[in-house]
Amino acid sequence: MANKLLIVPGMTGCKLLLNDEDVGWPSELTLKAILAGEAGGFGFKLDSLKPDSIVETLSMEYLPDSAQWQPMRTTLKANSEIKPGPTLELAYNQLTDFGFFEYDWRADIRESGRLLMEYLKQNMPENGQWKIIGHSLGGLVTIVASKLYARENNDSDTAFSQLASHVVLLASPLDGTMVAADAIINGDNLSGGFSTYFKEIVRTWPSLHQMLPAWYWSVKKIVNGAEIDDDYCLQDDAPWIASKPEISLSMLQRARDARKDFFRAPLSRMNNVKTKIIMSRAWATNNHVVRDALNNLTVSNAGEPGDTSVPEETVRKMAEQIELDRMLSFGDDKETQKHALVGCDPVIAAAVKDFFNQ
Amino acid sequence: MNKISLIGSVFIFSALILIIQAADRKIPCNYSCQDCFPYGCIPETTNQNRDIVKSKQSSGDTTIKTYCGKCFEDADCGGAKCENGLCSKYVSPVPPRPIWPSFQLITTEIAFANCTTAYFKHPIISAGYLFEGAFRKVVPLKRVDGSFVAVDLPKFYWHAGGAFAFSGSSQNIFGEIGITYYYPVILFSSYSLLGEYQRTGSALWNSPSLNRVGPVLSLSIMQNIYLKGGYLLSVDNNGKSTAYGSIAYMKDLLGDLAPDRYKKYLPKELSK
Repeated sequence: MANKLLIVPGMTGCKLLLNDEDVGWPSELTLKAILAGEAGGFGFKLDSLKPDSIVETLSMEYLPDSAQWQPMRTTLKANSEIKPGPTLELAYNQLTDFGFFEYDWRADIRESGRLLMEYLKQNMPENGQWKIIGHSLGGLVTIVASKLYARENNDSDTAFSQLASHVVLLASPLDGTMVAADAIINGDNLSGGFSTYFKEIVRTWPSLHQMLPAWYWSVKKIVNGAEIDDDYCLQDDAPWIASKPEISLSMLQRARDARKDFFRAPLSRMNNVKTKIIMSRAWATNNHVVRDALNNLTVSNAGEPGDTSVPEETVRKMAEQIELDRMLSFGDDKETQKHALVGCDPVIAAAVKDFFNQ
Repeated sequence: MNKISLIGSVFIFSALILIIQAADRKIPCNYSCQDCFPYGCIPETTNQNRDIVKSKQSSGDTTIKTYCGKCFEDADCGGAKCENGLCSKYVSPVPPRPIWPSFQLITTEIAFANCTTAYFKHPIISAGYLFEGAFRKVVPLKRVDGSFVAVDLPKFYWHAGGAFAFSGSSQNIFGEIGITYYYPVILFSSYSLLGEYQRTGSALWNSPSLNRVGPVLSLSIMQNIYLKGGYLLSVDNNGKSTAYGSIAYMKDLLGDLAPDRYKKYLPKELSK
């Protein structure tokens, strides 16, 4: 049997099922958020549009202990459970030969990585190996799977090559993304009018915290009118959080632990696996927040080249030599699709397919 | 002590001095696993968050010195595994090859192809396929830092597609060929100028069937939805020309966007 092709989708890459029924992510929930949202929304007061109900449905509950990877509850709705549903194939329409690993993208990335490792082991192709694309968050999940599998095999850096022959980390936020910061700080996602509620929801999601930027220039302060590096990153329990007491310190601890244990030197347990880090640099991409004297935080509009989510130059600056040797970036001036749709881009999809044939 | 012993002693003593001096001198490196292999490249500042040290060093902070020595973590080995102070030998990378960009999609298409003629009863729902191929290849280039980059990507592609609807009393075939220009603006991602062919009739392989051709403009929304419009001229003696419009979308798009509970409201042909 030939090698199996697998996509590990990114954040929001698959549906969520509440007691086996589609919760309507992303289209229906976005529409509801616009209709129910206040400032900027329509402010409809229908029972089915109650923001509190959406908050209750999508919020998770974790113990404060970062060592506990599994959630206490996947939804705050009584006697209910959220599970991952089918992948949204519209984001991967050029990768139609692939199967999908479906997982709860809100959850702790370490737990999703553990589930991926189990999936890879239990569904191994006979006489073959996996060829894996980890898109965005899915790339981080794949990295965790490789390192957990190494741990199961005397920390061998070549053990993962028994499972996978090729791995592409596609538009993966190896050092984080300002999109995660924007969602946690400002609730900027579903719709402007719903941001107050969305903030409340995403602050219960470990994965978003684990994708907070890890570069030290991700927070800048204003000194004499100029932006100066604050010398810490958005994963740190540092002055940036002073005006945001509702941000969970235990979630930041989860971010730092995941970074330390898995995301620094991301390819270190993929020796003997053919690996490629593919990114776009065709769009202006935010790379820092500005903290003013009152501790207000503003996401910078002055972007560096990236894919609107992953800043390409920052990832290269943070990369070790082994990652740089495997890094392939595309585009200039809107020449590729944006972050969420790189799996539909003719150039990037061709590069992925060609690599898998090498 | 004879002369030979004296020379030997001096030689050994000198060698010891050199070894001690070498051990004391730290060999600088550039965070590259090749510089010091099998040893690591260690930042002198070890009391800070290593992520911050590393990113400061990468972004040109010359105050952070590095030297070859026993590794403490994988990052010291350029990203390879660090074990017992030594770096693991990592396999060489596969360099990227020139690639030929292409795009293909299996579609569902809802066409309004006979709407200005007496034949129009309802939209034609068909299954389709489209293919776009770039006019040239993309060649990645190696940067100084070791990574690869490809810019100046192709913007023009040739386009070919077709759609088929054999259900019901009226059968239809659509074929199209043309040029596509890629340039994402808001939700639009590409724009095509196409020549469209339609053959329609109750039994397509038998006469009489109607044949039309004409120009069509197509707009792609996020590489998943194609809005098309144009005018098809009859090529038969007594045939009618007609305005043409259609929406083609990735076959599974409705499954992605509409929760299952709403699918019962869709026409049978679209809920498959």
